[in-house]
Amino acid sequence: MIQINNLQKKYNDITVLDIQQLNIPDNESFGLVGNNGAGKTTLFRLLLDLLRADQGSASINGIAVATDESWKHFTGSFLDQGFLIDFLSPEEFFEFTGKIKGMSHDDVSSFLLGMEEFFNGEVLGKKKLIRNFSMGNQQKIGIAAAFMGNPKVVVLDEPFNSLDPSTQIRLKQLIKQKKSEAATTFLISSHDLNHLAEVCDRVVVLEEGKIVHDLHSDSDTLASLESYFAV
Amino acid sequence: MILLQLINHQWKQARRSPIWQKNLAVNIIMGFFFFIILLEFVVLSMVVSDKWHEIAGTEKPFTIFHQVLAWYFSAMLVFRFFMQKLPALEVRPYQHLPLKKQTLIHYILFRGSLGIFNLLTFIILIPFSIFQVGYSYSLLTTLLWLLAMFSMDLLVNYTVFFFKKQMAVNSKPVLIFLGVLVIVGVAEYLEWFSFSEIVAKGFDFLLVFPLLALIVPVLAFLVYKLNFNFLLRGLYLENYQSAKAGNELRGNLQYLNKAGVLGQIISMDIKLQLRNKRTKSMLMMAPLFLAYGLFFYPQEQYSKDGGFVVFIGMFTTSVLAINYLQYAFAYEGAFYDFLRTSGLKTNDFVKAKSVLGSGLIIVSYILTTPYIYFGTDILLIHTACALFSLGFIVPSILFFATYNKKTMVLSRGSAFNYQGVGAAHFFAMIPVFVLPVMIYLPFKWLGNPHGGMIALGSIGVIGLLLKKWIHQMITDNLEERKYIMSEGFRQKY
Repeated sequence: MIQINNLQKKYNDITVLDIQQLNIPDNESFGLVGNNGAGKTTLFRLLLDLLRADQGSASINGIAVATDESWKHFTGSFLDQGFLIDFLSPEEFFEFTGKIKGMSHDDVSSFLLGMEEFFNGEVLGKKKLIRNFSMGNQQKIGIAAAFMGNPKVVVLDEPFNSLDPSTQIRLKQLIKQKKSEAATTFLISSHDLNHLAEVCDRVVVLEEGKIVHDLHSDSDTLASLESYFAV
Repeated sequence: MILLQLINHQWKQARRSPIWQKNLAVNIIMGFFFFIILLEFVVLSMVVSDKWHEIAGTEKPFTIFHQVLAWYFSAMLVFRFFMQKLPALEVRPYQHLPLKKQTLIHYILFRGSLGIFNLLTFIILIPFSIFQVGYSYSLLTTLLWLLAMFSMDLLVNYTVFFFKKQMAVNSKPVLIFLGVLVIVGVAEYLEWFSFSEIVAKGFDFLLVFPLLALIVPVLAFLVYKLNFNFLLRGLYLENYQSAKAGNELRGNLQYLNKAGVLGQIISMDIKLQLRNKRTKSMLMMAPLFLAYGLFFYPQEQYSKDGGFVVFIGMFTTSVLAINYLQYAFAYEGAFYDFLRTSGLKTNDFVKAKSVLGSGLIIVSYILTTPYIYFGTDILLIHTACALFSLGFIVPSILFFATYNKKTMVLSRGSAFNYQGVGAAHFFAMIPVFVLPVMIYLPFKWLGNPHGGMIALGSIGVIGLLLKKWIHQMITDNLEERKYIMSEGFRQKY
């Protein structure tokens, strides 16, 4: 589903990302981990064509992201606050996003119905603007929007941050469910090794922009991750 | 001394504000304007003070001046009520530190008493004290009088703070106060009852018995103390956070939502304009811009001179659209990443912007049709200008906007807010207003002003016919610059 070839990004001659080769097959849930500044967000931004690559290319479903925009119709993403329109109410924001993704009003309504449990009654019908929600609820709104329009690929940057424990569990269930029912491919980064070990088939460790470990999940992914990050 | 440290932080915050640091050219331009206005005020105040006994034209120039001051302080009371608020939020980062509460409160009150209005009071009072009071009375009397008047300013200031806190939720008392002020004003105008004369009598007393002047600072101090005690009892920030602008959710523009993706973008953009502090305060200025013609058209020499009418015509019909379109893409800067990855077609985005910009011109044009009162030619010129703007100015400015990669931070008010504004934005205004005048004038000099109007209108119509092609050009440019824009917008300031 995702191919990365010789992808490089430099800031002022300092290489912040340098990935020779990375293939993520269909329906894989791919975890990304690394300390601050390892290049996780940079990788996601390059993949979503938000940064210019200095070298190499990334493609989603065979479409080179930098030259063709059609991947946007089946890729959902939530990286940071820049993915929320904070002066809209959640309903307006979902309606807007849905419309762009080609959903009808009814599609959006039934989508939101399916998200009720994830929202835990804290998002819809509040008559509030997104900017007046707490961080955790804003995070829920952004994640939900990434799931709109039946995406084949979902990219989430540290999605577990600021979510309450119940919602963290619900998010993990949601990811597993979409993966098995809709064959969605996931790219998820996190600082929490437990979460990644639980939801991901594969976890890649980035360090100074390079892939230093590529672990396929089996019984002891967590143990090897923990030993890698131990100080 | 912790108080000095706090003030030092405040100073650093102001000085290190990204607006000052990154935008030298804008700073110079704005600094220059500010300096000129300040200078004009100072000179005006000096001239008026120097000639006051002639201007007042009565036996009692001081009483008249005191009457003026009575209204000045009343106006200040209202003004400060709406414009100023206690900077209670500024102490948030210090509240959890082992600092004395008293220190923080002194700091809040001190900071709250400084402002642009104080400067105005200085500019009004000091020349008068030199040229008039000092001329007629002893130095000591003059100084005491000055002290009393400045204390009056502080008294007004702290009274406002006190009342504002007392009625944080309830705005009725303000309306009652405003009502009383209007009634008093009307009564004074109709000469039923003179509020200012009474206050002026009180002020006059201070010149006769200068030691009485000390009462005012004592009063000011008492009100300060009142504020202080009030804050000491409950310095909890939630009590002082005034409701942010546009938090309430209303109006959903359903009819636009039905109009497909384009309608969605337009309705999103309208909500953006209406629900954010900065854009909203900009919209409040709109009537002022539309009324700009009223300053000139009543005067014969302006309304007859075609070149100037073209300038005013361009201004009244297009300034709102220009102001909007210059930052067309920067408004969405805070969530540009979302728009870029959502699958939104850039061309739709450009079209939506163009529709809104054109809409502003059409609305401005319709609202300014009453200028026909000053002559039919004015309406004809306005029509030509509106067409020229629709066809030529809208696409030009929109194209120019694709080079603007500074996010508009929308949560701050627009007065004296130059965040996201570059020097280029000022210079872009020049050709917009000069070009149509230059097109028009040759025709006028050849004795055919209508030809000039037709020329302007025709350029607009040609632009409108080429709209599709121009939009594509803008779209291509925006896409070409996609990484530069994304990266620029991500840097919040």
